[in-house]
Amino acid sequence: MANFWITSKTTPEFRMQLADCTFEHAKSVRQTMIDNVTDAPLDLFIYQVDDLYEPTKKTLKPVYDAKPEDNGG
Amino acid sequence: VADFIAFTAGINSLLNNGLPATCYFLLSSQQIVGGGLEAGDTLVGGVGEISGTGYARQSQAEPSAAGEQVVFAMMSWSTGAATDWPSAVHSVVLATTVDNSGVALCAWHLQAGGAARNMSGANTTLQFTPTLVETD
Repeated sequence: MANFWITSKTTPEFRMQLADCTFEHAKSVRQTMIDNVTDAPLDLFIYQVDDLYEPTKKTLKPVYDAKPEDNGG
Repeated sequence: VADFIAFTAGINSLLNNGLPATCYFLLSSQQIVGGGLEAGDTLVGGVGEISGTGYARQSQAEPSAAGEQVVFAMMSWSTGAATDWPSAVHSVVLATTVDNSGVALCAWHLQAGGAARNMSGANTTLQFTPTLVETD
């Protein structure tokens, strides 16, 4: 279990914070956002963060960087 | 039915300190109604925060006021593959802290009249854009 941010590099104000879940779950949430959110950024990435609310660049760890069309779900 | 409430402790906190530098938003299973979210409610006393796989309070920096209002960025909560979120989510509560040590400032109904959003299904997304408007 870990904490994640799903966010966009080009639109960083667009994000969802996920607490205490698996990476597989985070991937399913990312796909739901792509499917459901109108005008969702096309570059949604998942980051594992040590602190859900104070992620510094040092603790922000990209763990999924596939393009949406390559998303494995 | 009121679709917004400022909690008494929240009003005092806003008068003393203004909005916090980081604002935290939680989902509540309670409506803004007697027996639900009421003026005297507090964060430590409980405001009906929901739970579910992956659920977390969403945070964002305090926005700048303009035109006598504060418009926060749109927020999303998505269930993904989870089906253990509540079937009736009514409100969004603005809090000063990520835990319950702070102050619940105010709350909005997700939908006019307090209608519930069913978040118990997989692949469900809730989006909400909170706004605070100055009134006389």
